[in-house]
Amino acid sequence: MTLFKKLLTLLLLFLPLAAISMDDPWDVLEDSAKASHALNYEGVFHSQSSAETNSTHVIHANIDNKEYCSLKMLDGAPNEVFCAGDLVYVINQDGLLIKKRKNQFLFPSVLPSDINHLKKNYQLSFGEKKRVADRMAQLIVLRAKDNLRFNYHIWIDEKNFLPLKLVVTDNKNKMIEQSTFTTIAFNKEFNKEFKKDIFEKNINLAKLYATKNKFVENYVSNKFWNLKDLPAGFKEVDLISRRVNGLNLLDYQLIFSDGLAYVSLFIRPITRGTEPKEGTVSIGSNNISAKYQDGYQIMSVGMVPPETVNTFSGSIEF
Amino acid sequence: MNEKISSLFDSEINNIEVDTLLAKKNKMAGVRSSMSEYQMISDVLKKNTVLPKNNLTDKIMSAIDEEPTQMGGFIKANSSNTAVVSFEIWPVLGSLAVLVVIASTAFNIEVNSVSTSQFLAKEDIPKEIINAHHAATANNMNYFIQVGDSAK
Repeated sequence: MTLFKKLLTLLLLFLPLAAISMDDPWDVLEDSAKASHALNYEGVFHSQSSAETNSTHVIHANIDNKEYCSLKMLDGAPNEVFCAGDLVYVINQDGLLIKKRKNQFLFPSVLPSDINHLKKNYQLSFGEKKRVADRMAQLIVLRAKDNLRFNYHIWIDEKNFLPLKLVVTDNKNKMIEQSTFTTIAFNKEFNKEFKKDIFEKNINLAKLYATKNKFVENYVSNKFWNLKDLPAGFKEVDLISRRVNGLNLLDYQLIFSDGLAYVSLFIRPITRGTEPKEGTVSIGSNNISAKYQDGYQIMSVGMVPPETVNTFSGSIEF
Repeated sequence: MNEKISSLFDSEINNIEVDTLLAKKNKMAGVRSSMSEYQMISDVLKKNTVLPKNNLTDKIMSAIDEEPTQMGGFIKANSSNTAVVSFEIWPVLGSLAVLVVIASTAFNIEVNSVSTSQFLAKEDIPKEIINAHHAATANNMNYFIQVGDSAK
């Protein structure tokens, strides 16, 4: 067999595999999830919801398998955020707040690491290709399989799979929120000098920083509630408790997710002089549902349809 | 809402709903008015109190005065347009009249429907709720920056 024939045979063997990879939007989504953590890039993205619009300058670097980011608000107050792995440093004129990142999947890293979890709740399809931030991008639509969540439209860079644009729409195709790069550059070399430039200039960890976060997070040992009839596809991913201002009482925040959508369910004791509230309202891209039960104000908040937050608020049993 | 108020006076409502209902009573004139009327019906049916003297009672009494009531053999004619009714039948007639008046006016009373969404306004949502949600779940850095800002 000549060398040419050998190469042709190899090509024929691997071509179908490559075609499957390109034909399956789930594979593209998985590559996209990885790319958003692995790539080095610098750009500006624009975010818009019904309540507000603003622009952010972003630098993202992966150095020795650790993620670093620098974000600066370009509108309003010049606040900045620096990330190093799971730690997030928020800087404004008042000082520095250091937080540990748990469920914050910040744009463009909006996809969960376990893409399979999305398959239960979303139907995936390719959409049209278009230019975003001067780059060709392939649209992938994650359409909700039920009315409990919104639809996600993600434009993915055709060459390196980074999400360049995200649009969230409701069931009537009305836009709820969007984030999109207006400029972006790849192939930037980031090394240890970058860490020095970005972090040591802005954050002096040798100095004692007092965070003014009034909330005290506690480990919850006694769950005095039961959850019944939760909206399908949502799992509890976190539980936070906080001390109620000035009182020896705790309130609780349970966090649920279906992989893309997040809902917080608050269980708060009603303090003297506070009237319990019931009903549903919208604030920005979030729907909020309130119910009263056994001396507790139950509130659910999330970028999901009103029916979903209502179901969450009604799911608590004491 | 009327069904809940009725259940309250029939002792068929649980403690949580009583609290909610009482909270609504304090806020809404319609609910207050309905509760007062249902209380009256309950009292009449249970025969444990005398009808209070208020506008509703006056309306009932004048309606009874003006209408020639026909109740089988219990009635003795008194004049062309009034009737004298034996003493034993008063509680029954009173109850029925109250029910008729309530039924005719209930549909015109502006009370809250079963959905209680009107009670929650945007300004009722504590800002720390929204901030806590974004601080724990944000997928948008702009929110995250603002949350960090406001959490200080």
